[in-house]
Formats: sequence, C-alpha cells, structure tokens
Amino acid sequence: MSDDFKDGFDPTDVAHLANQKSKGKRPEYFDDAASESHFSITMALVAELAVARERIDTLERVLADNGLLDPSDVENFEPDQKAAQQRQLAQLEYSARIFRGLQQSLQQSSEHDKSMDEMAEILGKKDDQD
Amino acid sequence: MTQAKTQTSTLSMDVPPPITEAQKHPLYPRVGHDDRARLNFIMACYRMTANVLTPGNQKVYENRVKPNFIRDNQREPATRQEVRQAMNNDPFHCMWSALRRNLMEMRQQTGRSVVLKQNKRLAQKANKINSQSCDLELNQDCPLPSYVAEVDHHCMPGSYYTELVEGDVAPAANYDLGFYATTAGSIGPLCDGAGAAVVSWVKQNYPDFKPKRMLDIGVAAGHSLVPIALAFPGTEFIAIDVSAPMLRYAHARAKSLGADNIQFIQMSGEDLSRFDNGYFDWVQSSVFLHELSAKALPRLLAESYRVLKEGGLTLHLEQPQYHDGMPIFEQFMRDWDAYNNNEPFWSAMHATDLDEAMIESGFADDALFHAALKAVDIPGVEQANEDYGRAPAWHAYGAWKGAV
Repeated sequence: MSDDFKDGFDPTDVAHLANQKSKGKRPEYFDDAASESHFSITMALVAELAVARERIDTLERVLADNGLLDPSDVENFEPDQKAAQQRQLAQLEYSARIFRGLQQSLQQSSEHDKSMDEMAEILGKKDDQD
Repeated sequence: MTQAKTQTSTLSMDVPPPITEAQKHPLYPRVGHDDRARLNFIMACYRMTANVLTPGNQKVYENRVKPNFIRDNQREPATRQEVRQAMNNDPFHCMWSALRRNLMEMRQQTGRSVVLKQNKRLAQKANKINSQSCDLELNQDCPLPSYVAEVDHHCMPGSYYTELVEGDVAPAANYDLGFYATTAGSIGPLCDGAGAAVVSWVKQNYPDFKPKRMLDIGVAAGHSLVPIALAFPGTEFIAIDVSAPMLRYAHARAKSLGADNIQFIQMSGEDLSRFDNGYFDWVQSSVFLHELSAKALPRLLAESYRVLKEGGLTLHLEQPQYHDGMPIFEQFMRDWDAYNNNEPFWSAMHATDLDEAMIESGFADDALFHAALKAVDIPGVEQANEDYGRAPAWHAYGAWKGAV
C-alpha cells in the first residue's frame, strides 16, 4: 500500500467495503429485482447530481470570493450565437446517450435481428455448405 | 481542539442544517467537500420525505387501501399487521418505503466510505487518548449476544462491533457522522439532546438528587451520556457496551469533550454480576432497549433492579410504546423501522408492556412513572413534526426503588 493511503484502507478496498450489505434479508418494494436495482441506481445518480451542483456552487463562490467572478456573471451569462449552437449540440448528444437503449430497442424490432442461437445454426449450415 | 459552535443556526427546522453545523471534536472524522454534499443531500431528502411524502401514506390508506380491504373482507383492518400487509401492495407506499430504505443505505455507504479511508488514523488517535488513562476496560471474552451478532441494526454493515483494523473505531465514527445526518440537527450539534433532556428533567424535578454512582447500559458512542456526566461532575459514571470500537471511541470522545468521570467497560447488561446488589444510585439506558431480544429484556431489567440501591432511580428512554388506544394506522407507521430499518425487536418491544416487565423485575407498581422528555435549547425544534417517533422527544420509563 502506498503512503498516500496510510490513514486507512486504499480506495479500491473502500469502494468494496463501503458497499457491503447489512445482515438481514432486504425487504422487497417492487415486483422484481431489476426494479429494486434501477431505483437504487436512480437514487445514487440523483444524489451525485446534488453533489455536482454543490461543487459548482462552491467553485462559483470561491471564484467570486477571490474577485475572479462577479456572482451575477453566471446567472446573466448569454453565449454568443456560435457558443449557443455548440451548447445545443452538446445537449442533443447528451439526450441521445440517455435514449440509447430506447432507440436501439426500436432498431432491433424493426430489423428482425436473429438471436445468437439462430445465428449459430445459420452459420453452421453455411459452414456445412462450404 | 473542540470547535465550539456559539453561533445559532439561522435556518428554520423546515430546512435541515448543513452537516458543517455538527460540532467537531478531536475524534470526528475528516469529511471532504463531496461527502459533505452527499450528507447534505440525504438530510434534505429526509426532510422533504417527512414533510411532503410521509403524509401521503395516510392519504392512500384512507382513500384506497382501507376501502379495498373493506371490499375484500367486509370489515376494517383490525391490527397493524393487517394494515402493513395491505399497504405493502400499494404503489405509493412501496415507493415511499423504497426511498426511505435507500436513503438509509446511502447514508451508511457515505459514512463508511468516509471513515474507512481514515480508519487507521482514527484508531491511532483514539488509542492515544485511550492509553492516557485507565478508565477504559476492554474484555475480549465479553460474549456477543445473538441479537447483536445476527442482524446489522439500522442497516449498518458490520454493526457496532466489527473490527477491520487493530484498535478499530470506524463503526463508531460512522455512527457519529451519520447520527447528525439522520437526526438533521434536531437533537443538537453533538447529537446529545436525549442526555440534555434527562439532565433538565432531573434537575427540575429532583434538584436534591445527588447520585454517587450511575450505570449507563448500552452506551454506544456516548452521545447521551456525556452531557449527563458533565452535569453531575461529582458522580462516578460506569458505561457499558458489548462493542469495543464503540467504547474506544466513546472514551476518547468523552475525554475530548471534558467528561472525565466515566469508566467505560466492555460487558453485557444481561450480566452485571461484577457489581454488588445496590451498587448504583441511578441505572439508565438511552434508546437501547428496542435492540434487545425478548429474552434479553427481562434479564437486563432484573439485573438493573438488583444493582440499584434502595431509593435509587432507574430511567429507560425510548420512543412511546404502542397501545390499544393508538390508531392502528399510526401503530403501523411507527412499526416501519422494525421491518425496513433492520430493527427486528422494535415491533415486539414496542408492543411489550414495559411497566409490566419492570414490575416483574422487582419494582413496586406504585414506584413506576412515565415522563415525557423533550430536547432543550435546540433552535427550531418546537416546529419539528412528530413524524411517527422521529421527533426530538423521548418517553422515559422510570421507577424509584423502594421508598423515596
């Protein structure tokens, strides 16, 4: 273990240990295990967004305290046309990432994708023909 | 050095205070920016849930759960168990429960990730203070009761006792950090509101009570005991617990806060045989009885009675018991922690007639009393919702032994 972590466990151990489950069967709140996981992931994401916002707020206040930013600068900021378009493009790319799963599910049903079992059978037949 | 918080929070109780309002002491873990933000978020989320979402449970119960039950059974639900069964099929209640459970799990995850990064430093720090005096006695042979070993109370992985490094205090440091988050400052910057309430109650009602020795059972990190020890400097305090990490931390924390009259001993409250009959003038536990099993509770009460002097005071702080007069919906809500916050004995203990149990332990029935204790001198607490047992108020089950 490097000296950086001499105060305690190193980050990989912490990540594993902090996530340990408490003893006792966890109650079920939803109809299936996937929903339980989805909800936990959503709550964690919601919390991390709150953390990111608090960090941005810290940055703005530190910059303002150091005279590097007028507190109203951020609120009143209006990008020029080029910057505004770049930002909208970024918003679009972001939305696309969020809807990836949904979009791909539409593609799959419209193109009659074959399962890997079917694929193996088809390719096996082709092999035999070769 | 202790950082005294002299400044009164300007926030009303409807906005939880930030975690930075918690009073630091030398054992308090270092918490970085983002972990502070995580705890702030959890506190805000709890407050929103309590004020906005929790009342929704009663609404859905009255509007659809109870009517559906009546339709299917041709009668109203008769017990809190029936209410629970019916509510557990309601989508709003399930979502609310899942939210509360996740917040608790997130609180534990955050606390543990904070303290495990510094568990060696905290252990050394505690050890330095622990070894400067001889009033901490750890006993490796102290049996770990099954009601502690089998379940991790309030979703606390590893419970109070698990040691991952030598001289570990991490479970206590995590408990200390999270206590402020889950109470959102409502019991004070040192989370010592229960102890302060006891002091205020005793001084007000029994100004002449001058105990020579006091026993605190299940002291944990000492949040409630320290203000009592500070208020009775002439009293000799003995604090017991089965967990070594809690005792190491509680000892160092108490010393840091100036309480020098407490001896900490690792032992179970079920066996107080090392103390003679009538050894203590005062025997107390603070929000501890609900973690005992049904068999352990009477054993502990009997031992508490035995070691109490004639004319001595016993005081057990808890949330109010359920009683027949309490609407079953309210009983069901107060029961939530038993099933969702890993408090398996909560439900059974709260349905127990504690008065009866205390009489069985030896007290005369006219020696028993109940007292409603409230947090004192904490800004804004008057405005706090009662929130089904989560208010800064405690119910004391007390008795004076023999004639006063």
